Amino acid sequence: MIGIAEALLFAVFAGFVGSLLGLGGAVILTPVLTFFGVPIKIAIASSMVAIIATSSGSASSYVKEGLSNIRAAFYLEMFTAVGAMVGALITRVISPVVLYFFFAAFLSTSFYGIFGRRNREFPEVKQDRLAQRLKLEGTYFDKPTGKDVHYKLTRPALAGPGMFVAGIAAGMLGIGAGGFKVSIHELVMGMPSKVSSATSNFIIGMTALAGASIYFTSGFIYLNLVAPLAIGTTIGSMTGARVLPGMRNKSVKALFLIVLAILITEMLYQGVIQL
Amino acid sequence: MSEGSPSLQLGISWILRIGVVLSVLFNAAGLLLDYAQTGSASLNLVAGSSWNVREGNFFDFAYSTTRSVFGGFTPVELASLGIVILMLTPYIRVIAAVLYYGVERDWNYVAITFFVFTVITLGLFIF
Repeated sequence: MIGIAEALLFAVFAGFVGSLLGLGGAVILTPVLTFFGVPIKIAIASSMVAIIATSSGSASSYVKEGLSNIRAAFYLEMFTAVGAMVGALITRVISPVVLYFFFAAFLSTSFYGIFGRRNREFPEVKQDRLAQRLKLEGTYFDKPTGKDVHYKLTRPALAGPGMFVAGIAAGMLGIGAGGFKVSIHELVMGMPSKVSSATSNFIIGMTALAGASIYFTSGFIYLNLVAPLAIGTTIGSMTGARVLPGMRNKSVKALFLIVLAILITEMLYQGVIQL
Repeated sequence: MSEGSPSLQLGISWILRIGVVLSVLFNAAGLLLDYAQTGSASLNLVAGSSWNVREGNFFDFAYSTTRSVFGGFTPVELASLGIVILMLTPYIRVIAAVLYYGVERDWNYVAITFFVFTVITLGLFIF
């Protein structure tokens, strides 16, 4: 079994990568913990709490710098939160095996979509009427180019149901589903990659909170594991939040594609071993 | 128009920052105190041990943690407090947003943030 110090170090790494990409870091933590002998349910439950630390740790900087789009975050969270609850309820009825394949397919589509846009630094977006009514736009200071970037978002009516599906993934599989969220932000709404990471980090803490609660009841929370993980992801995410503003959107996308590939492999692997 | 206003951004940013720093301090204090008492930094996941939380929902856990803190600090209680504070950060950020959009009279977003608040609260109670 892994020691407390090692758990903390892995969490620093997970929090760092998570904060750059808008993922909670469960995608890294859960497999690492299980590899070192932590039972899967305990690994998932602990990662869920660690996601909250990644989210709050990085969002504290992103929100201040105006990189998180708070309006878009709350609009989308309506759908994700309901999806997470529905997901947590239907896991009792539907076997997760089917889901792993479904989500692997979903993520492969995202991979294909983002790969096609990998060289686009700033997306050009024509806003639709609902997005205008919801005031889904923003401005952030882009360090690499040294100028203020104004961006507009679009198609919230399509992004909503997409986020509902992301929420179901979060509820059923015990993940923050950052990979799904970032994909929808970029492919459906036309969000710049950095805004997408920062906004996703702002949301995942809320989704994970609703999801983590279920594990308190079921007794999978061990504070001697959760505490070092939370410390680690907090440190990692606060460090990552200092790095992201200086990165180019293209670099963020390239890194995201790598993690997406890992996530797809992980989903397929889980699906196959449970067949 | 720039997204959000500086006051909402600053307010939420401070809530998050204070929350995570306090959480790290309590968690670290709990782990260090345990190390000082037991001399061991290995990870033992024993079901039913004092580190294992089986409190019912989050509000039960938060309530019993807050109560037990008044009886003095043990490693487990310090870490519990760290986790409770951590889990409150996303919750408080929703409440702050509802209040902020209310003051701004942006009713679309009052409705949206209040809906999110309701769903998360239900989630915390039901499970």
